[in-house]
Amino acid sequence: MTNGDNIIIASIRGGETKAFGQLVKRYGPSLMVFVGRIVGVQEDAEDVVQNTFVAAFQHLKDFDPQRASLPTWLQRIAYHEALYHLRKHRRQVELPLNISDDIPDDLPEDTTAQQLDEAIQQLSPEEQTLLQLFYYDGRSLKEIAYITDKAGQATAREVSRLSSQLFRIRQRLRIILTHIRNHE
Amino acid sequence: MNNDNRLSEAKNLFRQALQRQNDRAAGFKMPDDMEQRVMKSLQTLSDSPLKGEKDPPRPSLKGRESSLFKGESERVWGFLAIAASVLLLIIFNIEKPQPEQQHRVIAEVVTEPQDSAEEKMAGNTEKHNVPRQGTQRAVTGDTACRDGGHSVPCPEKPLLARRNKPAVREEITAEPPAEEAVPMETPAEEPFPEDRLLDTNNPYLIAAAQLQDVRARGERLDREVAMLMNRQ
Repeated sequence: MTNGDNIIIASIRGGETKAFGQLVKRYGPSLMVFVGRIVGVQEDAEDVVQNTFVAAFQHLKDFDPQRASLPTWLQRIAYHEALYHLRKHRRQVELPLNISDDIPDDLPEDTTAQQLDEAIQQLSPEEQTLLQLFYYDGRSLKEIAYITDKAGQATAREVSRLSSQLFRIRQRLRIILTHIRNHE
Repeated sequence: MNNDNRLSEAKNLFRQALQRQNDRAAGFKMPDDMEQRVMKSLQTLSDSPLKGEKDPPRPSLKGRESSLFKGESERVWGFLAIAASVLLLIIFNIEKPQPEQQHRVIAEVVTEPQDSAEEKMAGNTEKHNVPRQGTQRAVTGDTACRDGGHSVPCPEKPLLARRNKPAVREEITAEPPAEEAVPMETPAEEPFPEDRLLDTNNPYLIAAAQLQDVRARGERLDREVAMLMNRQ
């Protein structure tokens, strides 16, 4: 967290509500991209970001700079807001795939980025976000655990759960990719 | 080394695939009025300080509670509800009577001189047949008449004795089976003794009980007729 953020937060806590606008300006654009990856629709992303900022203002006293940076804390709120938004609008579709442990988690050979993109689109928003945070943003599992866990617990147990979840996602992707390639 | 290469290739492939998704999301621009929209939403909060401080937020903003923090508060309330339920269960459990008290049955026993036959019958009477005791002892009352030299048993005596004589309360504190927990109450309709004595082999007792029964029925009918006449 920058020193500027500290000053802004201190002034908001002091009762200066208008200072919150500066945080919206500073972190709004990155949050739009972050939420856009989950919800996929501009209008929905706008609503989610707006709700995220309102919730952040209401719970600013809960923000602990020792646990996470301000952008990560905002992403945590935005992540759960986005999933709540998707649940409310019933856009979440779970794929009924039976996965056993003996299925390898590595991708089939000669898989193209386009095929993988297509396969990723078939995953749930939670799974897609997990891939984004881990493979694209290069976040650590501990940081991802803080963002995705409702209680904000980045414990070893939560990290282990995420690790096995990534394994399952790769297994799912392998099945989906095999299915896609068989139909091409 | 080969394994590392494969992992690295897979990571690159993931990055390329996710890049497409990021490119699409990068097209999502924050509207210029976002700050105003947020501030307008917060405007309703402007009179009240931050959540958790002295004044609570306005009710109109309650619906905007974040799902994340809403979940946290729901969890807290859930724990409180469970704790309250457990507490109530404990309280009710404490207020319940102790098992010994619950099984204590107070039985009325008519004090009659007991002869050998009575003792024999009493010996045969099992603990859990407490309701039978009164009748069996009543019949032994007939036996006492016979022993006294009467050739005809006097059936009214046990019934009268049962109703008029002072009864001695005897507490049976031994642990009875669950069915015994029913306290003894005098039924509105007195069951007929012969029904209870069919299992005995003594013909004299059966005959005496039947005679008593006939008399009792007659008396009961008389009473009922008298009551009906009075009502009319």
